[in-house]
Amino acid sequence: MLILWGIIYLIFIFVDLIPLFKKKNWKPFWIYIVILTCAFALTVAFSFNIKIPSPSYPIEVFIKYLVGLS
Amino acid sequence: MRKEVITSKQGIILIVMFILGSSLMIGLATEVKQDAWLALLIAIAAAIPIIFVYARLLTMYPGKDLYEIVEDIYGSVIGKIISVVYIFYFIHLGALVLNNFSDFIKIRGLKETPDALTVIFMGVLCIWVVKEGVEVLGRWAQFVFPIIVLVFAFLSAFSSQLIDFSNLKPFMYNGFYSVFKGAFFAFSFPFAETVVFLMVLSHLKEAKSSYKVLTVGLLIGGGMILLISLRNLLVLGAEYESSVNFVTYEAVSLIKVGDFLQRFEAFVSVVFLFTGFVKISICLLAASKGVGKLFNLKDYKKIVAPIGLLMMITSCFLFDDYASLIEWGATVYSYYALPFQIILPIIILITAETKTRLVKKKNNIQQLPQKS
Repeated sequence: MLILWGIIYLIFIFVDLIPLFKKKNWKPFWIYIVILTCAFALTVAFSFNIKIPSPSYPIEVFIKYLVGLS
Repeated sequence: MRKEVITSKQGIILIVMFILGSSLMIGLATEVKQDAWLALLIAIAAAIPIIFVYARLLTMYPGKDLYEIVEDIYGSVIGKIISVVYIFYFIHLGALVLNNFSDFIKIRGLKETPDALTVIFMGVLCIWVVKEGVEVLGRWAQFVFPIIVLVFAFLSAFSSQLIDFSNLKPFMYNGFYSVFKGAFFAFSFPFAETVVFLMVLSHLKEAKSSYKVLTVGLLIGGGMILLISLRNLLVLGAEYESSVNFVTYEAVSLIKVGDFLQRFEAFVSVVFLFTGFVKISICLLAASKGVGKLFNLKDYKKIVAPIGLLMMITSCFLFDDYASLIEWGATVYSYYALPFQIILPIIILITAETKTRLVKKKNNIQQLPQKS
């Protein structure tokens, strides 16, 4: 599965990121790199079955505490 | 850069398809059983005032989206904090819907296929359409919408032979409180989720038509959901309905016209995917516009892909299974979405109104001595 994800990331790098680099459009280029790196790190972790903490459970605990749901 | 524009008709269709989105697949207010139709009616009625809040904000600041509005009202720092909160909500909402659809495809169609594969294909399509812009999405929705209406009209007509009106009884068996609770859940999912359109309707051709677009969109979308939910209830019965995962799919799978017209659920699956595609794309569009505004980018389209990829991978690890997604949606989601859908927009509107009135008063005071 990681290979498929990798291909998708590579396609977007070729289609989006390299033109940004060539045009020297630095601001979107760095924002792109930062978000893409975060997404890729999560993808690698997910592909190797590393447990990633989901945001839904802390939200659930917080809401249940706040509203008083059991 | 040329400003993208959508017509009022396209805006209405986008809202209708957004509302149908995943709610059509999961089924609404099934926990209140035979009173689901009443809960839905209350939810639609309750959604109208909040829709007016959104529309008022859009007409007060024509051509601006919520990110620009909050920066105008509260200044750069607080405006950006509110924007970050909304960006998180939109990415989370998009990931939830994506997760929903990958689960649907896995449970009903491709059992052995990994979740990630369906997420990749759907997510890449959404990234593509958002990169093309809201105009393309609007035109696509306008093209597809008649197909959706036709499919549901035909299938509702075909299922008329399965309808049993005794399924509506006993009326209000569990009391009004349970109906009210069902209405509250249906209100936040999907009607008040139209808060996303505060980021999209700034593209409307005529800024004044946002009242019309939002109200008509809500009424048509709500009406369609109400009719389809009522049909499902009449066909399946309350007990059976509350025990299945995909209510509309199950109701349609019972249709048999003669011995040769059956297995219509494939049509319904396609319609689910159409509406889900619009919902995910709108969430992605709103999140991308937010990130673009946050960093003062000229064009949000350049950063759609990484946000889409982030949304896709988030959807893969949000929940362990479909049951926990449904339970989370039924218990936590409504309370979680409340600040984004009601509290923040109302606070923003009150501040905007107060600020405009103060500025008007100040201008009047300044003009008075000049006249005298």
